[in-house]
Amino acid sequence: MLAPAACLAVALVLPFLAMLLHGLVPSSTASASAASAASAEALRARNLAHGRAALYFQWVFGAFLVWLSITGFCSPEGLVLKGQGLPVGASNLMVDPALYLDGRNAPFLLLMGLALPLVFTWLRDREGKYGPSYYVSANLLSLSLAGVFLSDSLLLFYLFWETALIGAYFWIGMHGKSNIHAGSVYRAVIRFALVTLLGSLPMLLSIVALCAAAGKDPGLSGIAGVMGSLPPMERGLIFAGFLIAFAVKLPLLGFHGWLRDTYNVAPPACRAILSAVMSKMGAYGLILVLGQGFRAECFQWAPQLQMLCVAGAIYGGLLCLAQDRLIDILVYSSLSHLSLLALGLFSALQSTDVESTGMTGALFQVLNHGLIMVALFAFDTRISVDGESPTISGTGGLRKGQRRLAAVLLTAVFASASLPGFSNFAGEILVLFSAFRSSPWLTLLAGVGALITAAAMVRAFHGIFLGVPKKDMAVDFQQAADFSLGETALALGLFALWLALGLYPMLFIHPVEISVLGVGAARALVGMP
Amino acid sequence: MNPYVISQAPLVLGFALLLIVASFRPHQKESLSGLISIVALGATAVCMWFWPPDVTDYFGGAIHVTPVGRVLAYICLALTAGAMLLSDEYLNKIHVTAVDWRMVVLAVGMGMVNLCLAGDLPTLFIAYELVSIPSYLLAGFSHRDPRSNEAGMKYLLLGAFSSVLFLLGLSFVYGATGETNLLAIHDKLAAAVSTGAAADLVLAKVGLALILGAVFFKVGVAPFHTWLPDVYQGSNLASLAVIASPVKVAVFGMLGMLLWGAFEPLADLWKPVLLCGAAISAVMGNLQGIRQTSMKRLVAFSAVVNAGFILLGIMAHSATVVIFYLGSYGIMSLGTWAAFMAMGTPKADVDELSDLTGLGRNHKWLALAMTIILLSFAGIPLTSGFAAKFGVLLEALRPDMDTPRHTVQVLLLSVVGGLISFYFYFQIVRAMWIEKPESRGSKASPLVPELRWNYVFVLAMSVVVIISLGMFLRLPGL
Repeated sequence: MLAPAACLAVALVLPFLAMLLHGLVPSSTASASAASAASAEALRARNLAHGRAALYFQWVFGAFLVWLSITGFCSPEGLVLKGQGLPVGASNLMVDPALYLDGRNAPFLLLMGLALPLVFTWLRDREGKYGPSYYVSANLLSLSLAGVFLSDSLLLFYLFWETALIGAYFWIGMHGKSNIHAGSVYRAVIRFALVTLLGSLPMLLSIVALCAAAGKDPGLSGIAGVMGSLPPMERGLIFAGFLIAFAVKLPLLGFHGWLRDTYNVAPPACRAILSAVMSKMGAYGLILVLGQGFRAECFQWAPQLQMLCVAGAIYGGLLCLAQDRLIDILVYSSLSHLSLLALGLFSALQSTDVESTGMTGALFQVLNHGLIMVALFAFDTRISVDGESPTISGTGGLRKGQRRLAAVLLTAVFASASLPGFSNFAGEILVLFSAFRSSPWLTLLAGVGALITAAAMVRAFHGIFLGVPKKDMAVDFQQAADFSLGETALALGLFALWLALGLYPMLFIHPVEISVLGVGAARALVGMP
Repeated sequence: MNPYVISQAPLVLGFALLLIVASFRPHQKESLSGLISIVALGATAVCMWFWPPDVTDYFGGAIHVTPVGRVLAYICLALTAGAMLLSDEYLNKIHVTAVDWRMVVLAVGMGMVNLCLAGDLPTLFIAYELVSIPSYLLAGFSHRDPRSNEAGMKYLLLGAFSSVLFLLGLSFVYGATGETNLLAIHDKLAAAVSTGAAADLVLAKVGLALILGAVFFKVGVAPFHTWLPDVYQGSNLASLAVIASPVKVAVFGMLGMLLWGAFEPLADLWKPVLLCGAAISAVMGNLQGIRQTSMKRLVAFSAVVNAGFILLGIMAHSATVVIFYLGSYGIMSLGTWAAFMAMGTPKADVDELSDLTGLGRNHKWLALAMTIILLSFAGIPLTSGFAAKFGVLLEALRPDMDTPRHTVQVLLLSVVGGLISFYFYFQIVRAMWIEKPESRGSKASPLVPELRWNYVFVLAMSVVVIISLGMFLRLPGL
């Protein structure tokens, strides 16, 4: 099932075409003073048409990405698409942009391919309030995410990193909704943008330093070679530049200040994509850029970084316990689980041999955490009314009104809590195995962190869905629409996938492990640098 | 007739023709003068193209032709022609006599070309003055507007001060070396450095320091930049399209050619100074830009920040990178002024951020063009601004480059300062796309911009150039 390498470029071209389609289709210029019912109705109809087109596109694009990722899994030597470059900025640095696909970045594409259709189906715009700019920025974000995951060239990687920020800025800035808990949209979004840039600008300097030392763009695979020739001070600085960028994106503890407000004000679909896929940009960087290019520095700093991750897991859990609103609980559970993902990676790099359990576990958690977050945030949005998420103290007994929603939400909560049988358990156990090799105490603490998060989420479910409805609820959550049969079927399909991967994880682990282990050897066979 | 004189003739003839047009149609609205000016500028460029390649000196070394100088001259002429095109109806809107304005700009054009081709000290100074003095006129051209008068006055005083420093520096260099020809100065200085004759060098170094101070004033490197926001805010947009775009390119180009050419033996002196200037510009330009609500002042502080980057490029001794940066900056700047002109109404200009609310909804292509220019300023990839900054950083970090200590720290400062730049560039993006008109609370009707063909044309051209210069990917099939 080998595809020609040109399909890698198609993954980038498709969302670009969608952007053009949504942006260029002529629409009447909405003047601010037009308030007649007829024009508002026409506007609504136009928005609904855009929404329907976007939905079809996301299913097609999602299917394409799933197919592409399966191709990546099945071909251990990988696909590479090398382009012809031009010297950048009249410097004498020739850049050859390259895209690649093998078992290492296939999980990220699989996640995107599954997450995008789910998000755009469960969270589609029923009232027609989002105009074409919503879909243009959503597609810009998808394009950039696919580009980050597929790039082999450092400059392309940086390009897509920045355009992802631009896409998210416009998506949240133009269509976000302010919240008394999180403040105004602009404040949250500019904080998000500035903190992300605070990470990515040092990364730019690191990339320039690597290119200057190598005389060309070394690509992700060439970083290790260039680093070998540099003095230790420079190596440390370059490593720090990349680490900051990925730590902010994931986020790791200490860099997470932007998380809550941004997720609160973002439009629901954006929130799901941010948590599920955009945070995996940080994971991609940690696993595939730091893990391959900076092994020596990671080995040197692994103990401290592992402690940071465990602290993040526990702190995220404690914050979860302290929250009242369901959405905040989900935000902090995301923080906790992502810290565990990073723990898997840093434990893997604790030894100088390639230790595949931790890396594979981290890659597995990429897929699992992403899908679980899509499900949880989507369900939370569906149970919310007027953008207000249900609170533990203020609501209760919602199960009576929304039976299907409560059922799927409970299953997702259990999956997130790493119930054995679900794939999240398999991924987390790999991470903990790897952490145990470095330090049993850290593993115990990490387990405690996971436990606290799980307990907090189950408690949230208990408080919101079970029990007796509170007398004077500020918002009547019973009026939220329950899941339709089709949407429930989608959720059941997702759970079937979790069960399949949870009961037979080798389906995923085997192809990934081949790529993780055999990358150097396999590439040498095919004659790639 | 030597080729140099032939190529300067169109500018002089154009000036003369404009005088004739002015005397026959003194205060009428006409476009003939614009046409004459653009033809003159184009003819100069064409004549320069056909210069004999082997002749580098004219008038005994007074004019010295180098490839770098020629490219810079072409860039300046192209940007000036663009500014001339932009000025077509705009000058009538602000009640300025178009012919007079265009004569002054042709004079500036002549000065810019000669600044790029100067071979000895007198030519250098004459060209410098020919660029500066008409610029003072341009800044204060809208004499009915008190802010324009203030801008002109400030620019005159500061510029005169800068010219005095420049002249003093040049005369000290003459005193130290006894030569006026720039190549001969280089040889004398190199000889003095190698033999270690400290006495001669002290005077030359003082001269160089004065020249650097003067040029820093002129281009607005911090901390000599305090005049920049007031002059930008007071001048009219057409004058700014000349002062803030081609003039910057010419003066920076001159600085580069002087430092790499005549003063190259004194590199140990000017490299740290440029590094300092870049560091201070990065800090002050960015910090002072945060609170601005006037768009012209915002652009002024962005000019300070960009000046810092250009200094880094000059310090890295890389001509191609500096030319690329200057060309990219020039077209971005011209595009900005074109966008501001396009956003203005037939009665008034835009200046406040709040004037732009709702532009993204009502005029999305105009807002998109402005956004692309702002992305280029902010250094987002696939734009020429990013490619230019990348080139500068790359050259400064080359392993075999002899850069002063703390270069890496200053580069980090400049790059992280880009964070703050992003914030204030995106204030404009926020105003156009994110701010909702209802939230403003005012009953002012939304902006109805006058999208004249010349504003839109220059704006579109600048966007096209920005994106094509920023591409490092060759599209398949091209």
